This record gives sequence, C-alpha cells and structure tokens, in this order.
Amino acid sequence: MFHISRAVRCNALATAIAGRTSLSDAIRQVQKVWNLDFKDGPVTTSTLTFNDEPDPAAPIFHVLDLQGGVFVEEKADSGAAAATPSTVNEAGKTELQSAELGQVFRYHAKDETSVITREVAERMMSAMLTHNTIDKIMLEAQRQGRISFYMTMFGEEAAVIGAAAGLASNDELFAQYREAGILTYRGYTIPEFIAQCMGNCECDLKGRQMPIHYGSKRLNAQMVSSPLATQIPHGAGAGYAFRLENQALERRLPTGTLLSTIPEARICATFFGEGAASEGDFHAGLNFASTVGSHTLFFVRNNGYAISTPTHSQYMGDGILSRAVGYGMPAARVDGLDALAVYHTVRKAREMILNNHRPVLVEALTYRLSHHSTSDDSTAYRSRDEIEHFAETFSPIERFERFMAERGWWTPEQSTEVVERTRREVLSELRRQEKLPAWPVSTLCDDVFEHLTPELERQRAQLVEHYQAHRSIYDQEKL
Amino acid sequence: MRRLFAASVTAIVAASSAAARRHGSVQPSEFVFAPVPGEEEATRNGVKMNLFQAVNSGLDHALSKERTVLLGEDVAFGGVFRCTLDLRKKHGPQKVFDSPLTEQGIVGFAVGMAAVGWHPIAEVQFADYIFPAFDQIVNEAAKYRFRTGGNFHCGMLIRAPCSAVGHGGIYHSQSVEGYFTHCPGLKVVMPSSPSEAKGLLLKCVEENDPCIFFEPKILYRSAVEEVNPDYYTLPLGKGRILVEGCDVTMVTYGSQVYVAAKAAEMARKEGISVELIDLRSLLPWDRQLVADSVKKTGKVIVTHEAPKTSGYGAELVSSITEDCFLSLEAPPTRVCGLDTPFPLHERLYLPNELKLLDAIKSVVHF
Repeated sequence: MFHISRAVRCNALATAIAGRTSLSDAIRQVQKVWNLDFKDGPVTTSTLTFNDEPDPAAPIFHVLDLQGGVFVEEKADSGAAAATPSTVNEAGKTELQSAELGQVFRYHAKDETSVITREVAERMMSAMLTHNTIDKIMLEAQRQGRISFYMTMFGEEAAVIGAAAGLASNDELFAQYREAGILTYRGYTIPEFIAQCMGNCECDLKGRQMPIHYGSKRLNAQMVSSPLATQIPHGAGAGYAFRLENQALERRLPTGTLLSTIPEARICATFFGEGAASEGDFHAGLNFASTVGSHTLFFVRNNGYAISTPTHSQYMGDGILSRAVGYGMPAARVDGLDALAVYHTVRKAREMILNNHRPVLVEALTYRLSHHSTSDDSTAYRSRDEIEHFAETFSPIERFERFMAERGWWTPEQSTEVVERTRREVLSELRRQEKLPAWPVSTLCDDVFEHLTPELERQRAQLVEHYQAHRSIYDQEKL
Repeated sequence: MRRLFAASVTAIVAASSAAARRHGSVQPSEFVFAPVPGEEEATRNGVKMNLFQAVNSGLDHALSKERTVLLGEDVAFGGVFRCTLDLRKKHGPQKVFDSPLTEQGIVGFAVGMAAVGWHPIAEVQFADYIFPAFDQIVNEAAKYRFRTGGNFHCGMLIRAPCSAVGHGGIYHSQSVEGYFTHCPGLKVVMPSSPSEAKGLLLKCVEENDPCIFFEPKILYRSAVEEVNPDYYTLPLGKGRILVEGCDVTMVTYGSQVYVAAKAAEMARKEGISVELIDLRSLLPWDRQLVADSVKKTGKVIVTHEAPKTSGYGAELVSSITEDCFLSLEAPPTRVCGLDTPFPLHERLYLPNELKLLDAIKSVVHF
C-alpha cells in the first residue's frame, strides 16, 4: 500500500505553493494507489471523452490461407500491391528448409520458433479425422436411441486440436464440453468415449454424468461439468497452484533457465465458449488469475452462437479479446479454423505464461457447423446458407489436409484409412458395449464423500435390500 | 457501504459487548463446560484463547502443511476479525493472500486448487455473502468427487463468520447452515467454543472433501477457554453432551449453545433437569448421541438462530421422531428465529433464553 509520509506531504505542499509542482506530477507521484502507470503518456487531459467511437475490431492471426498454403506477407516497403501465397524468394527459402529437414516445417522465415514437426502435424491430422468420424457415428447413435445425448465438435476441430498440440501433455485441462478432441489427441480411447456416453460398467467415471462429460486423471483432463463457466475460476486456482509448484521447480534450476524449456513445468488450460464468457464466473476467474499471476491459458472458442443466441445478443464489445485487456492480461485473436495458427498461438501463449508468470487469453474465431446438441435444430434460428457457406469456404479439416499434402506429409489414402478404422472401431464398440451392465446398485452411494457417512451407509443398505426384493422388476427395465 | 471495513473491527466488538449488555444477551464466560471424555487433548497444556485466537492458532498449524494456502478478502493484513493476524508474515505472501472482491471467484479458485491436489482454505468474510458462491459450492465442490466417479476430489475448507452479533441487521447476522446441509457432498461444521473450533478446523483441513466451517462471530472475543496450543483434531460427525440431565434434551450448536445453557440454568431453579447437546458437526451429525439422549429423557427441544421453516432443526426433529417414537412423551419442539429476514433489533427475533424456558416448561408439563 502506498503511503504519503507526513514529511513528503509537507514537502509536496510546499512545492505546490511555490508553483513548481504541476497537477500531472502530483498525480504521477501517487499513481500506485490506483495501480496505474501513465509511463510517458499524458497524465491528465482537459478534453472530456467517453471513448464512444469504437476502434476497428482487432485483426485475426492466421498462418494458412483457405487453400492450405502458408501465407507470407510482403514487406511493407516492397511495393507489392497485395500479399501473395509466397514470394519466390520466401517460398524458395521455406521449401529449402522443408527439403533439407523433411520432418520439420518452418512457417515464418523470420521467426525461428515457428516450427511444426511432421510427427505433430500427423498427430493433429489423425486426431481431427478420428474425432470427426467419432462424432458422425455417435450423433447417429443418439438419433437411434442408443445413447441419450450427444454434442459434436463439427467446424471446431482445428481450434480444439490445434490447441491440444500447442499444449504439453501434462498441462491440466479444464474444459467446457466441445473440446473432446483434446482427449482424442492425448490418447483417450474409443472404448473410453463410448463407455462414458453409455454410463456402463466400463465407464471408470461410474456412469454418473450425461454423455460427453469426459474426464481422465491419466490424461490430466478434469472432468467436464454442465454448469457453464464454473471451470474458469477453477482454472485460475489450478494455475496459481502450478505457479507455486513451477516457482519451486525454478529455484532448483540454474539461474536464467527458462521455465518453458522444462518438461516438468505445467500450466492450466481452461476452455470455454463465447456465451459462457457472459457468466459472472468469467469475470471472477480472469480478474483473479490476473491479480495473482496464475499460470493459466484461457482459451475461448468464439463460434458465433450460444445455442440460438447470436453474438450480437451476447456482447457489444470487440469480442472476448477486448475484455482481457481490461483485466491486464496479454491476449491474442486467432483464426480458429486454421489449425496451424492455433497451434502456434497456443505454443507462444504457453511460453509467455511460464516465463512471465502471467495468464494469457486466446480467442479463437471459429464456427459451430453442427446443431448445439442432439436436443437442438439450429435451422430454427439460422439459415442453411450460412452453415453451408462456412462449411464450404472455411473447412478447417480440409484446409489443414491440403497443407499436409503439399508438404508430402499426408495422402488421401491415409485419411480414408483413419476414417474407416475409426468407423469400424466405433461401430464394433457400440455393439459390444450395449450388452454391458451398469455399475452395481450398491455403488450408487459411493464417492459422495471419501468415506461413507453412517447415514449414507444406512441408505445404501436400504437400497440394496429394496433392490433385492424387487430385482426382477428392475432388471426387466431398460438401463 | 456493503462491508464493514477493518477500521470498524474494534468498534464492532465494543458495540457488540455493549449490545450484549444492553439486550441482556448471554455471556459465554458464565459457562465453562468440562472437556468431553476422550477429547482432553483439546485443552491440554492450555493457553487462554478466545475464538479468533483459536482459529488463528489452527490456521497457523494448517499453513505449515506444504500444499495449504489461505485466501479471501482482507486476509493478508490479519482479517476483519483478526483470525489471520500475522499469518502472512509467518508463512509468506504466496500462502496467505488477498483475493479480489468476488465470492464466486474465491470459492471457484479454491475448487481449482483442490482439484489439482492442494488444500486451500477460503474465507468468505460474512456467511451472509456466501450466496454468490452457492453455485460453485453446491454444483461444483460438493459434486466433484461423485461426478468423476472418485477419480478427482475437492479437499477444501470454506470458513465464514456467522450468526447474530447484536446489531448486524439483515446482512451481518445470518445463519445459513440450512442451505448447505441439504447438499450431499459437503461437510458442515459450526463450533461453539475456542478449543472445539481449533480441533474441528484442523480436522476439516485434513479432509479430502469440501468442508464449510461457520464461526459464530459474537464468540470471537467473548468465548475464552484454555486451548492446547499444539496440533490436535476433533472428529467430524460427533456431538458432545455439555450438561447431563434427565427431564428434557435440548439440542443446538454454535453460539446458541450459551443461550440454551442459560435457559437450562433457569430451568434447574424450577426443578427441571436439562440435558444439553452441542452438535458442532452438522453434516454429518451425531444422530446416535441425540437418539440415546432423547430415549432417556423422553422429550426434546431443538433450537437454532436460523429461521424455523425448513431450518436445519426440521431434519433433527424428523429423525428424532423416527428414532425415538416409542420414547417420546411430548411433541419434539423447535425454538428458532422467526420466518422473517434478520432485523436490526433482534432481542425478540432471536430464540432467546426466555423463549427457551417457556418451551422447556411446556414440554415437561405436556
């Protein structure tokens, strides 16, 4: 807390009387009281303004163009009329890099860290196709009544899986519900996906939540819950815990070591949609993370809709990005339909978080191609033309696939193979798991607390006795 | 002004003492209860402490654990009731830190830390302001273990000052335990004495389940006791018999314990022997202790400051009726706050010792 000592106050008063201290200087002296820093800018103004002229929206970072080509902007002083996919010189340079290394591609000639390996890119491509295929089949399964509910990730594969690739596998995930592709990228299995959606005895989450509420301790993914935005302040808290752990780690390393180069250092990655950002928990989480310096990435999927609510009924500012500035948080806006751009942005954000001890926000602009869920028909509030336009023009999976093909890292046959293999496995697992029983009745009272209370023990015993007395009726009923 | 600021703390205490005298409220120092058999550790090598000092001592021990932090509004300088005095100095600014002014943020932040293996202690400055965090407590903290099939858990402690203080009016007097005891997955505690508070607080810190710890703020300075300065815990789910009796059982918790003790004393002068039970742990609660007592006395009065309708006492009375139906000689009776918001002038609102004495005589002469 800033204190003006009596001596300083008298001195300030004296100099003010002498006319040598201006209002600006007086305020600059005490600006810490308001946690402000005017730096070299003006401290006061005699012009009243309400900032009522909105600035243009912040531009969107991208790497790939619509054809999957790497976009290289001309230098401002080159005189070229417009940017082209690649100048001969730059293209030659990047192609040379690619030809020499073969397994690594550098997408910004001047940024030595803008590199993606073939291995990572293949894993991204595979995960996008796998998850898209899982979604198609499970969506159909819900329509057939084989599972009760489903939500797909159509249109948002690039945003989600680009982010997954940009994170480290030990970073802790707090998700909303349309980020299951991260689990696919990390190795969650098809049997695990289906077991959760069916809530059967193979669901190690014990079948207690609606379908698509996945989680995995093994993969550092906190389980999804339905209340929106509650995970945002969770992310601030977990990120603070990691900051304490990372700083303890840092003290054991040689001075000057960058935390972002240490595998054991972890961050928290918190995902949410632009609608959830209207909840009070968004404000709580971001403000808190900023004030205590949480090691947290806040990743916003701005897909244009919260169920039927378009963004013009959700906010009037410059998206979600502009709010991060208000919390004093570094933030970037990225083309969420460009997997490579998302990958790059998240990797950069992660480095900043670990090395600067500050949270970062990323707003990925994307589009929800699908209905909100199997309980929604989105043509009730938006036109098919809009949906088709996004699907045909921006097509995130195809865009990345073209990038891969151009590098010689992927073939259409590989896509077909991934899709078919996934399709076979999902269908096979659906048939197999439909025959599985639910968890035993006696487990219904477990996990309310670490240990059963006497009252819960009593209720469990009563339940089991009741079930035994009427099991022929209960067992006849559908799960 | 929404909150009472730090500068007012001394004034609050002075005012509450004056209010206590003015309104004829009960003085906790009038009553000294013997340690519960088996819980002598709580007062061993005792150092005289009031409630806030006992809480401070408990927090001091808790913060010595590696993965424990303390956060909340104004906790860094010592807290508006002095419960966190000197803890930041001793344990460091990363372990004891101020939050922005946001209850849903405080609890949500704590849930996140707990989810990745820490044991945060979150303070909500007054129980009256816990409601902005209700969604985080009920939908998240309480259900974290269950909804994840036991794969994750949420071991955390929420502390909040609660209950009447003489002149707290609508938003500095509430007893909100009834909202939370209807929520599976939470443990709810409300101590009535310094030694009880310290032991229960440290037990809560050891739990791998979310605990809500309500601290009756009228007792912060007025309840004084010999408290063991070392580390000790008291069990959750176990009540204590403060006074043995054979004519009627009175069940309560928190600062209402002293009002009940006063009424029991008044009843004794009229030849009625009251058994007084302090539940202290409300969820889980000591159902067996209460049932055994009521089977002995045949009559029961449940009392709490919170409003009567759907108050925590309703659960007690219903359970007692189930467990002791054949022993009951009079209807189980509740003496509680009125079904109104908490008024500024509280003498007639509260279930005071005169109301309790009337109830005692009524059930004994039923």
